[in-house]
Amino acid sequence: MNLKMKLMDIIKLSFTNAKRAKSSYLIMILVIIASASCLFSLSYKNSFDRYWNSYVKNSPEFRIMNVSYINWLDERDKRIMLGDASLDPDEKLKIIDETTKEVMDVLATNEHILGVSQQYRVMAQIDYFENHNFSFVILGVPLDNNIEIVSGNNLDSYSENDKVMICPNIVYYRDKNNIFYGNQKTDMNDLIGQAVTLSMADNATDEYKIVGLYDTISNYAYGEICYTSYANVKSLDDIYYEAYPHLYQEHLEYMKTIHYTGDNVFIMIDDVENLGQINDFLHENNLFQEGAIVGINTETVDEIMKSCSYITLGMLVLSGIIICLTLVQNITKRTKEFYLYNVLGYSKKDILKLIFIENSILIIIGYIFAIIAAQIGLIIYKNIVLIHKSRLYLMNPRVDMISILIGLLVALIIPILITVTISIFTRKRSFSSVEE
Amino acid sequence: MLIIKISDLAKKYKKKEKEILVLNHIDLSFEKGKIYNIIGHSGSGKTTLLNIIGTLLEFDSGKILIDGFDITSMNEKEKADIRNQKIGFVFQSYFLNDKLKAFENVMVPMYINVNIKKSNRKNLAIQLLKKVKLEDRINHYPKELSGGEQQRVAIARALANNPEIILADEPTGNLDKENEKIILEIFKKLKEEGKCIIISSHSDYIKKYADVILEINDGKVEVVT
Repeated sequence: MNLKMKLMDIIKLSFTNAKRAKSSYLIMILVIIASASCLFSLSYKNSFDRYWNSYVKNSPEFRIMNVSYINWLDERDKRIMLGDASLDPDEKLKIIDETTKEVMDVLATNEHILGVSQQYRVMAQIDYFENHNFSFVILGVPLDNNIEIVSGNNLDSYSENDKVMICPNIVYYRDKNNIFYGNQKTDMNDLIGQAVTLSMADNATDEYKIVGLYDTISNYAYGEICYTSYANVKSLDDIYYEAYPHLYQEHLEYMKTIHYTGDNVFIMIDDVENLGQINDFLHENNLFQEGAIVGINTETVDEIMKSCSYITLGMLVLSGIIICLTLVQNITKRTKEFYLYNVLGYSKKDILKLIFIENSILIIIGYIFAIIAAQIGLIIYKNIVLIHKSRLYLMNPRVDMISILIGLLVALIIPILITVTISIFTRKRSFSSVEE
Repeated sequence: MLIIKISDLAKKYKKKEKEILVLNHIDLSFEKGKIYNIIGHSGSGKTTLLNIIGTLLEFDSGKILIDGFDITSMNEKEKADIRNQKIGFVFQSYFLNDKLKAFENVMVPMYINVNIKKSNRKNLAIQLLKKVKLEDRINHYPKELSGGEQQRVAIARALANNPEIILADEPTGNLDKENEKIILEIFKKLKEEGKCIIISSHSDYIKKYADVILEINDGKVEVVT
């Protein structure tokens, strides 16, 4: 006779059974929770991995560090760092400018220092958001292969592939009581500060588009890097205007003060392993300041990534086990139903197909919802948690295709495993007797 | 006309190194168009015999022919095909799928039957339900049906592939007298259509409908009437 159940009939019967069983909804919820957690964890790890490798680890500016020369400034005139009002602002600027150039000349003599760059700070006080007075800082780091400060706002002298880093960064701001917040995190104020920073990025012109960020706290540089040029400016008003002409016009009426301060230069070193020698050099030249030059420690991140991997793997296994046990329990409660199919002429193979397809339907439908849930979770996480960690905000965690495929592979292995297990279990025995 | 022929059938169970010979080399024949009632005390082997005839249980020795097919040496798949095409089962506890409606329950055996076109299945199921006087319960789930109605759905399911043999194990065990009568009237009608009905039951009422009563005692089968 050789009767055979057609695939479409198997799917139809399985779907009907799955749709109408109360336990199916519980199983799907379990699948959604387990899979979404897994996807969240896996996608987050992959996103960070991608971000870390592409923007940070492989970035040439990875080796950029701060050198503070406040010692030199102090020796020139103690009033500079004290912010003494008796010091004429123009005189102050002149001293800082001269000192900066001297420091840069000294630093350029070290063989491990590939280049030196001046740091610009533009302080602009804006009465802009809800009557708060904000001062924000643009840290510009013009950097090219020659590590020179080019003159003139002339992009023509650079090719499209030339790169330089612009780093408008975390906002330093003062509130209406003129209390300086620096880079501290305070919820709403910080959010506004972030918004200012990021909106500046959006509003910059194409030539000066901000596509990268350099975090002076951690010395991480990330994002794309593009070239631009800066004049040997007489006033940083020019920088601001050149870089962000739209913003400049928009904020002009709100601007009260623009001034320039600087006690840092950036150096690019050849290898972090030479940090010891460089520190010795800085000591010799009275440029060393504890904590001023910070090596980027990847060990911590590597450890975090490792832990992340273990956690993700653990979640994969745990969720797989939970789903497996739930599905198996669901099947063992239905042995009489499967025996009935056997009685009605369904072969063991047909019954195993029914079990497999039914489980697969539950898992696939649950998994689709899990992808959506995981993506929503990552969006919420980004906008609630990561928004406070500006450098991680660029990470943009999202459910990626690799995570989806890995999760799907694990998810589909489960019904296969269950079916194989039942097949082995029932090899030498039939499904339990109806009347037992 | 002979539909089932059993020759020298033996079946034993092992319990703690002790062997119990449930069926002791029995010979039986079953014909179409008759109702057979198998009786015997509890544990005598009634269900065992039914399950063996229904190819659900292996036996130790002997030979069984079902509509000319020797099931003795058949593999699991071939037996399943025989069950689907030749035998309809009716159980004491009905054993309907709670998740399927009445007509869907009747359709379950049809999924494997290549002789029934997909487009005809539902119509056939509805016709069978009409046959057992359940035309107004087609879309009901089992829990929405009474015991008697559920058993009638089970009978309709048993008839799905138009089998020649109906095996019923205590089919009226959970029913009241009124429903029992309805079920037995259906069996009677099926008998008149030429089906071989084999019922395992203690019920005195069924004896009145049976053409042949077989009693199992000490592993032997005796024709009572």
